[in-house]
Amino acid sequence: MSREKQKNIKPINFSELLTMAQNYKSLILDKKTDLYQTRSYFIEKFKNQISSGSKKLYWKNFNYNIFSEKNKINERNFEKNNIVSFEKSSDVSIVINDGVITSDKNLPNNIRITDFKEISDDDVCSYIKKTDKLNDPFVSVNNGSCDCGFVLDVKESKSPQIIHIKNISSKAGLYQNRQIYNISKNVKITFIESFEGCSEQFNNTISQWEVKENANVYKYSFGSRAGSHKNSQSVFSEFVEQHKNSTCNFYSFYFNEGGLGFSGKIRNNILFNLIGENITSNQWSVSLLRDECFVDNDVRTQHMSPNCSSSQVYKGIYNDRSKGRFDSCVYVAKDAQKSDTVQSNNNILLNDNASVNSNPQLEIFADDVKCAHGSTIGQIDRNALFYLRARGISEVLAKKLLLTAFVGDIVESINNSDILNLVSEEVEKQFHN
Amino acid sequence: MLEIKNLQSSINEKNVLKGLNLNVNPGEIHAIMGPNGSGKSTLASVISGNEDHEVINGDIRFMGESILDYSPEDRARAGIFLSFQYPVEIPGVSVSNFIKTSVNEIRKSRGLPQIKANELLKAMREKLDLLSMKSEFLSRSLNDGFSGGEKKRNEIFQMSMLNPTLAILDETDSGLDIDALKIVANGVNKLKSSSNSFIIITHYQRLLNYIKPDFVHVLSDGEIVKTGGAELALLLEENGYDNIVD
Repeated sequence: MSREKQKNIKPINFSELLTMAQNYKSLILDKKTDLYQTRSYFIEKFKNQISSGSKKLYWKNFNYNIFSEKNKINERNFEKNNIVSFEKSSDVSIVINDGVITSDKNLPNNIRITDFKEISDDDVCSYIKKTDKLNDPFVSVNNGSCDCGFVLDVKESKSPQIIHIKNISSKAGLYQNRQIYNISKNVKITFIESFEGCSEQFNNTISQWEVKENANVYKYSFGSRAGSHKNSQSVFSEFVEQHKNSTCNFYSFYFNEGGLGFSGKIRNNILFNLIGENITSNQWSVSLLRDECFVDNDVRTQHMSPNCSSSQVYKGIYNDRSKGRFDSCVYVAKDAQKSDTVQSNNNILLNDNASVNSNPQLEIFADDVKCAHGSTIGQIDRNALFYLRARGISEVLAKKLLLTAFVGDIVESINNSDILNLVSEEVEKQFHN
Repeated sequence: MLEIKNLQSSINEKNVLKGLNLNVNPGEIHAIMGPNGSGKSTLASVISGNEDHEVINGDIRFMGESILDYSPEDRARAGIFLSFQYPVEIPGVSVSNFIKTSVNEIRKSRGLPQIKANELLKAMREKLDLLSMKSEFLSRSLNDGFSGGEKKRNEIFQMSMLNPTLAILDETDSGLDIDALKIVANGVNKLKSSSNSFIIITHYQRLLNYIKPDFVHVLSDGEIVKTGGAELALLLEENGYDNIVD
């Protein structure tokens, strides 16, 4: 089996990606438009990025040829038992089927969703230009060629709302998507994101958030945007711009087992930009991985104004040959006095073949701040295990208790009891042996 | 109940117990005293099955059966309880969840159904009262942020919930103030019956003012070098170990 796997390892085929992007560009008929110019600019940028990239860059790790026809033959229907239903925990569901909005019925009046293809060229240009500062070829190629996705506008409502966004995908090969969230001031909203699909997909999604004054957003995301196929790969770039007095609590759960389980590789490029005062910005992530899964988190949090607090709490438990990575940087600008930041990354390796890299960093230019950072990588505590066993608890159950407790603080921090119960149940399923 | 014959053990290739013999009958309280490094805590660990220690020779029989091949959980299920000298902090596991899991695992091994939630709660409240502990205690994370006294009381609380046949108290008295000491001793005395036994490992005679031992053993360099009645503890307190060990 391992020999077969070796054969499949090849670097991502950027030339095919480029051809595809250029084909897309040729579809824009009027070459003088801003849209054509902007798209061309990003395709050119993409070309430069891939030709000058050093071998160490993360995209060299993506090892499967995304476009060859024979991979598409492997396309198969989604088969997973016990798909978790969020009906009970959400007010309304939006279903996105291969990038097309297929169900947006019963949306409350304050929420509007628009297909990315339906918005004006000017709007497209302004959205994609906002991500120009990012030096990542997948962002560039998405900027240069993606016309699939949605724009979700949320205005203030009388009471808090919970929206489930259910992404279903069946396509193998490259799938690009762009999801834009415009959250108006004073909005209180919770999003649940789930992903269904089981094909050899390479998913390149950009998610852009603008969270206005005094808005409060919770997001719970489960699994991989590329679905649950073991050869699926997701590159996800998320940009969040927070304005003054806003609060974001973003949760990500990566499980390999149970109804929300995924398989494959994930790369997250996450950027939070805190541009006003009194912002709260919390990220929580739990990776409970097996087999050869890989979750690679690259996180940047920028404090640009005074009196903001942020936290990045990432935990992982790795079994088999799974891998994790945490590369996080908190940047505190000169004016961002009284910033209060916490970076924490704790990992347990259950197996000699599992691995994790952890690199919490700080760039501080202000002189009156509180910035904590730390990371741990270890194994199950032998003394704790003996303590439990000495009370008659079997070794298997004792390990399960300890591992569940390890991620317990993140799970317990969920402030919605339905979602908390659902996550607790799914965590239980991860440690069956 | 417990027969230990010629017990020899090692940890990290260092021999600790060097031919220890001990018999404990139902209803007896044995105190084990001895200088630092004599092997007192090792004896507690070895009886309860800590896999860091290797038994190189001898036998431990409990209720007529050799338990050397038993896992720690099987020993606990057979009725052996160790009150830890250093109870482990386990954030994220509540005291009540821990007790519930423990009680049910032991019941399961004996072919009993799971205990009803309200029965368990009632039992826990009773025992807490006995140890002058508040019921908020149940929802706290196990030993996490507990004071030294709280940790030791928590051990005795667990002991009273599990009602073991043989309880080994490893320096349960150290770090306790006099009031806590009385409470702990009271817990032990309440549990004491003609069918269960205690091994009390201690440095000081103090605890033995409240729990009267039937036998006092002096452990030195991995062996029991002297055995006597309760009066031996007083003698040790007065004269130190040196006279006896040499």
